[in-house]
Amino acid sequence: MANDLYNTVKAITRSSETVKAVLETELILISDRTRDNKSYLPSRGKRILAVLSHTELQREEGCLLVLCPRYWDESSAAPHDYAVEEAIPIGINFVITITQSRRNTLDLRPSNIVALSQSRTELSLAISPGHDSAADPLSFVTQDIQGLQLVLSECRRLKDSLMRAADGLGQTRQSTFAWTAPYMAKVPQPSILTSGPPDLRTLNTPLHTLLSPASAGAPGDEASDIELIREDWVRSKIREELTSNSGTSLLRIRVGTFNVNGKLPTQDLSTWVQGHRVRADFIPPLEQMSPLSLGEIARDLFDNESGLPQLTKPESSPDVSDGSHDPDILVFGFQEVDLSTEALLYSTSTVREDAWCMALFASLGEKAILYEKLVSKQLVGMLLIVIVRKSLSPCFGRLQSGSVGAGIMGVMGNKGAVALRVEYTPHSQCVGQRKPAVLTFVNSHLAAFDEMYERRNADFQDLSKRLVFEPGMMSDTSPQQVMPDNITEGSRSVFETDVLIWMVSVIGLTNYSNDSDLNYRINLSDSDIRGLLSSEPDLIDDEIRLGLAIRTKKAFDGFCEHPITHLPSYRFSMGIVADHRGYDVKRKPAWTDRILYFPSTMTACRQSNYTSHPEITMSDHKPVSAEFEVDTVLFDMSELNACVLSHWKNVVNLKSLDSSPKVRLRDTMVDFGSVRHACRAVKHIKVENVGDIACSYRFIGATPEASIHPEWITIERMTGLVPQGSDTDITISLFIGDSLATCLNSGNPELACTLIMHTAYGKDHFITVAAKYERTCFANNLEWLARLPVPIRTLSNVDVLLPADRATSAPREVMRLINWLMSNAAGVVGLFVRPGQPELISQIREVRGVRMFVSERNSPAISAWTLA
Amino acid sequence: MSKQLQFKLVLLGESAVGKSSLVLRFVKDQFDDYRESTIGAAFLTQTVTLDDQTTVKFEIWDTAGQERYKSLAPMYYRNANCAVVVYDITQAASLEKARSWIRELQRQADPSIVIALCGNKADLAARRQVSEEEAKKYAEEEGLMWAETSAKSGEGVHEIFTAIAKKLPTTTSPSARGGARTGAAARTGVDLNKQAANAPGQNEPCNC
Ligand SMILES: Nc1nc2c(ncn2[C@@H]2O[C@H](COP(=O)(O)OP(=O)(O)O)[C@@H](O)[C@H]2O)c(=O)[nH]1
Ligand SMILES: [Mg+2]
Repeated sequence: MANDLYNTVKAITRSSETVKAVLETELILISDRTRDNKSYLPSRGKRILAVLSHTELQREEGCLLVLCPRYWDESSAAPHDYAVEEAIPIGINFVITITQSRRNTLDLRPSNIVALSQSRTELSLAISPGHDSAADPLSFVTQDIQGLQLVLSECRRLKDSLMRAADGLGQTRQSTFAWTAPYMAKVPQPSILTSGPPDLRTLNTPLHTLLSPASAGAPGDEASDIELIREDWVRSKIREELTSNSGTSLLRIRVGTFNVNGKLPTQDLSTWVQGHRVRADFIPPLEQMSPLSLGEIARDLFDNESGLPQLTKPESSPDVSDGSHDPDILVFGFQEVDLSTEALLYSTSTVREDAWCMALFASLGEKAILYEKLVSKQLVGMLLIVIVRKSLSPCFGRLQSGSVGAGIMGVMGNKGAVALRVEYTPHSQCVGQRKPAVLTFVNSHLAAFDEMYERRNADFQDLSKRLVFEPGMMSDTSPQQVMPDNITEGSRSVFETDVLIWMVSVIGLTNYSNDSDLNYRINLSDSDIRGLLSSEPDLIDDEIRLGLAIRTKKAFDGFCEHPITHLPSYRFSMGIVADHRGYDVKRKPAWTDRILYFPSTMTACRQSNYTSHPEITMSDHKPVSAEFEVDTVLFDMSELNACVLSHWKNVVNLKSLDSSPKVRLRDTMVDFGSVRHACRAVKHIKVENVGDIACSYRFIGATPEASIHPEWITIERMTGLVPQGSDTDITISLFIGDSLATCLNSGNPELACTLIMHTAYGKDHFITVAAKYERTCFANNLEWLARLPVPIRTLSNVDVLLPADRATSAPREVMRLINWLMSNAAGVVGLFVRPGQPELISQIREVRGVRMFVSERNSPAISAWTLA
Repeated sequence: MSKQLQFKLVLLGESAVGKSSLVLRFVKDQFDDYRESTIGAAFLTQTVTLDDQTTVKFEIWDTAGQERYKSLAPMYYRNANCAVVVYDITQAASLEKARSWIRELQRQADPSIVIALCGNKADLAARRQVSEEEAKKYAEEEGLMWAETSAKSGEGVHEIFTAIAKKLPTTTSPSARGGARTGAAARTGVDLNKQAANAPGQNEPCNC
């Protein structure tokens, strides 16, 4: 028995360490906090404790390992199925406390070594790495008194030897216990439980593109691939299972961005702040005050309990209705708040921030009483303020901020970005704790770099890389303390979030002689733009909108932007240099102030509004606002844990020494039969796991250069995981688009390919796909069509085509269609503009004799001419 | 110091000659009378220890013999250090097929590839259609290794793989040689270390 244990431990330890003692125990308590990152392991049950010794340069050090059976079902745990759960260095402060019936205490500290009394009963032991350690002790019970004694005496010996060495060498050589590191690393864990949300950019990237390069006969780096596939699989299971039966809670977020050109608030901002005007009797709050006195007032105001600026009328508060359509969160980004040179050099006071904050609350009017400032962050001219509904304020926590300068010399804060990260835990009616949703807001002020798109893009990439939330980094003014357990986390990217809203103001647009900047201005001549702007704003037509969107997308890859229907937000000027709309005549008007968001597959975020506010005239920019509705899923933490673990335990072992993955494909021949142009055909392949362990798969190409599948095939899902004993369906769909149809109409109509499905550490499965294409007169070259001697479906051989000089003057199919249209459809409005009805088009296509030749997406005739 | 080497081995030959059976015998020392035929290519590993304590780890790709998948075969013999081309001694046509595989390998595979011709189902000598002399003569002409084997009885199986292991260059590590190896090369390094940590000669998973 003891020998078995010993061998188990021996199998896990490296040859550089010797196993000094082993002990079989039951884990009785492990605090949730210390287990945070290992919650996939059973929280109680059998554990093996082992004392290891390591000698290096005549110095012996010890470490206590806690081994946990890796298999869920403990009875099946074979000797090698243990994982290292904890590796605790036996340092100066290492303590084991033995308790019997919670009375006799044995402390390992040398000063009070107590002899261990022999007893029949169970003894419990608590192990703590040291008094200064934040982690709670681990508690175990054991009946193996002899084993325990050996463990204790070895621990004591190793600790003594360490202390002697420390005394002797006068602390010159600190123990690092570096040798214990390999034991602590590398146990697979479901990151959905252990860390925050994954990077949105990865989440939105198809998984197969993130895996290692692989092809037939060259499986790539399977160890890392299976980890990614497993993570993705667990995530999608959770999404399927929990999103369907958990409710969602709607969070309304109003976002505003305003480049204030160094001004202090002098105007009512209510249209921007609330979306509509409050009372007309706005008192410009701060105009006549010097910045110094302003600071005083601001502080006083914010010190009072209600957080309500006196400028709004407090007496009106009782009848303020907490309108459910009002935003829950208000986020305001300001740029160029402070243009002074000093601001670049020393961090300035919060005077300006307080002024803007007051202006915001003032503009909230009587609703101000319902809101309070949650957090803010300023870097030179960039300021970001988050205001939340008071009733929800207990739901917000773990506030973090980040900032990065990208201005002068690439670091100064005249350009760059500030960011705030907020965790929102929805109110919970039931007892359970909800999983928080992470909201991230970024306010950036970027240079336009007219001349070089590449450069600007690189700058944005660089900025988003540098803009991180450092562990424990708090916002400037946060009502809550950062939780101490945050400290252990690494820095997080702004993309590691559930919701990401990004405000941007672009500066440095030079004059309109430089037309190469296409990103923030439209590609129209100056007079065209002014002409356009002088007419109605809804004439900002689709083309311009599309152009703007595409250009923005280039720089902000992966972001979304609501279509712009408002007028350019820059540059406005007072007086004679302005045109009749107030735009500076010397600058080409531009949409420099934008609000973007990053879509997430996990959290739905809808934008309901996007507009500028021309009535606010105090700056050379107009403020822009947007409204978002976010559906945060009400995950109950314990439910989520249980759900993740129940899936995780099935897939935690993807490689085992004595068993390899074995799957069976129901069909390795997928025959679509006859297929038509532009008609989707779908087939399923059942993949059954008939082996002893879970199996991950991915589709691969035949060669490293080859694509995974031909363009007419799509595979749903390209990667996946099949737990032991279960099965999954892979969907293969076929679609023949216009360009392929053109080839097939005049070429060989037989379609065939072999798909390769690779199972990790196993096999390349071949799946043969075949289809026969039915020719159509759609998607053909008109000249070619005119050479057809027979209806296209009956064409057996391309050789029977008429020679070019004997072709009919126009294809019969076109003539018939035109004849029909002239006699029957002359009165149809928008005949050549609207797309045709899909059913009708497919009917026309199928009728032998009446044969067309065009794409369905546009009206028949228009496409006919473009194809000709 | 014992040496550890790793080589990629590919099995080729007509369908049903016993390629998968040979691998199963070599890797797990088992034999099934009823086996599903391979549709695709199975990956397995097995290690042999030579007299001089050198351990040779084979990364084996057992391919499908069906004509339909012939175009994919080059992906599996590409970068292979050795190939076992199998025929069935009770089917004369299977030797013809083996010859065409060998011609293809000589034309398209790495010029240094070690090729072994293997006449399987030696236990069915009563139904023999291919004589030992004929096959041996052909192998000599082409400079191939040759042996008859029976996956069913086990006869000759271990011997042919060991003979291949001995014939492979033992001076340079294949991963250092093969510039074309990409993902596989990276994995080679990792596996070798792992192998060192584990008990040597251990049977690795079989999924044929
Ligand atoms: N009698 C006999 N049968 C064999 C031998 N090797 C394979 N078989 C049988 O031949 C059939 C085909 O074998 P298989 O390994 O699937 O051939 P593969 O298609 O080349 O992989 C199976 O029914 C095997 O049981 C052998 O050495 N002797
Ligand atoms: Mg086979």
